[in-house]
Amino acid sequence: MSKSYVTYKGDSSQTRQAKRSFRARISIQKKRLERQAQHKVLQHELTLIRTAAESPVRYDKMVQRFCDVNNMKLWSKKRSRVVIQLSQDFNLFNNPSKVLRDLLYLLYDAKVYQGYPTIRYIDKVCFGALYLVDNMCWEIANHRLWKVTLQNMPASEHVKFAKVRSFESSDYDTEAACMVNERVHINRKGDDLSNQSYRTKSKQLRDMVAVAIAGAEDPNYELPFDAAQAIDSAISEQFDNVIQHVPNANQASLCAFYDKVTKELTILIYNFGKTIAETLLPKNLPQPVRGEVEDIIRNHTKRFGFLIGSNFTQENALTLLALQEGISSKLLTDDTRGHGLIDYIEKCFELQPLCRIAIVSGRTAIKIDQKYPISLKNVLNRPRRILALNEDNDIYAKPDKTYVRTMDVAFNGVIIETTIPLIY
Amino acid sequence: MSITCVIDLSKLVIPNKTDSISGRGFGEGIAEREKVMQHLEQNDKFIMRIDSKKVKAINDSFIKGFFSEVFRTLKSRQRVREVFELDASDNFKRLFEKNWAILEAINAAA
Repeated sequence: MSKSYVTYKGDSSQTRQAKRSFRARISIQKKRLERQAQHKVLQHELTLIRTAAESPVRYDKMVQRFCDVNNMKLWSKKRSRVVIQLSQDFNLFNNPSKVLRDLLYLLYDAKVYQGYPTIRYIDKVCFGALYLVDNMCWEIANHRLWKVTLQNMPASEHVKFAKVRSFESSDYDTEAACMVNERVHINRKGDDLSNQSYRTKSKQLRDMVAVAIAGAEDPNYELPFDAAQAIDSAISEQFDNVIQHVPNANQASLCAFYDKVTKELTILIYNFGKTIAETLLPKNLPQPVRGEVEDIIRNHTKRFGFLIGSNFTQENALTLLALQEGISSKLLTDDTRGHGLIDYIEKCFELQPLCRIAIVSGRTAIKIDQKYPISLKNVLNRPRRILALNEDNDIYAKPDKTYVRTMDVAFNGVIIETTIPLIY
Repeated sequence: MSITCVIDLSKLVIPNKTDSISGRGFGEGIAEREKVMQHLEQNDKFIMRIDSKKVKAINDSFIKGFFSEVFRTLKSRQRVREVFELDASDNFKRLFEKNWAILEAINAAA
């Protein structure tokens, strides 16, 4: 407060009165300004919400659902144009939340703002995340004029981005890498015996990788049996799950990328539809299994006191349970179901212990590496292969919270990214 | 009189286009198409042929789909081995054995 408005001992009663009244007027004015500022912010937020809601940009049904489950309609935070930073951090294995959040920001900005996003290269391009970004960019480009600005992108990485073209079937083979990309149609014409196009892609990918490994020296080189089995399993078990468990899905996206320099193969498969936990609700399980599953969910979600104990959710527990041998929503009709995921994970790690697998479904993200291996345990009345992701590999105990995580965003479907180093 | 049926899995791939066999439903469908359960009732035997030059991978779900009903009838790996002869590479034999062991454990617990 300015010194001249302070009441002093020597001030006359008239002066005191005038100063009081002045201070009151200032205070009222200040409050009015504050109210106006608040109103302005509110107005701006409302405008953004309205702009997003009334935006002529409409996405494909399932992408729109992805926006809706994350309450995008209510977003009102003013952001500058999206800047996606391609770094070690930006990958589905370690930071799925960040990847999904950036996808949502892309979709949001495309609805609300005229500007275009920037993709800034920092130190690494992780293929799975890049593929998802590319997918969303093409989705946006279906509905409005769209382009991205690439910053600091080295020529070798620029090629990857230019060649992905995830909106259509494509493949490429350069000195540094080869890639197979396909939006795979799921054949459901009641004739399971007919050809599914993912099998063609599985062969194409394995042939490409074999050529990449052998080079020109040995044109007859074939991948070893275990490698062929693991790569095919990573593709076929995922698609079989889509066929069996997501009846409304007509297609799923498959992209595989082999980096000839690091000799790493990354296979990313995703589909929109039910989450893993939604297909595995306890009510869909036979009685003895249901009881055990409910026990496991209780143990995982249990807290000790107000803040002690990790906050695993039922969805976390169900998603982890779906990885275990013989746990499936189809057990009521066939007790031999529920092996696809564990079979595929086991095959990958038998081939190469340095494999990395990221599974994202709903708000749950699970990562799998060599720290917690699969082992045979006597669970639910018989020996089963268990992957509990904790020290004792005890499915009844809570998993490592850095391996089973709850994300602040949700994905309405399933993303599975498998990275296999093919070092011989 | 019992007979021996030949199931040539190599015919399930499309030359130059596919070289893998996969899918639970596909396995169940092939077992049905080949009338495996009816043949088992007649005490018939099978030779399953896999040409490694044509077939490079078979996924576990296919094998489980094909054999799930078989194990409900025959129960043990030993009995399945007596009925199903694998004319295939050692790699494929190991793959089938692994899946048969799982199906046997499921049936033993049931």
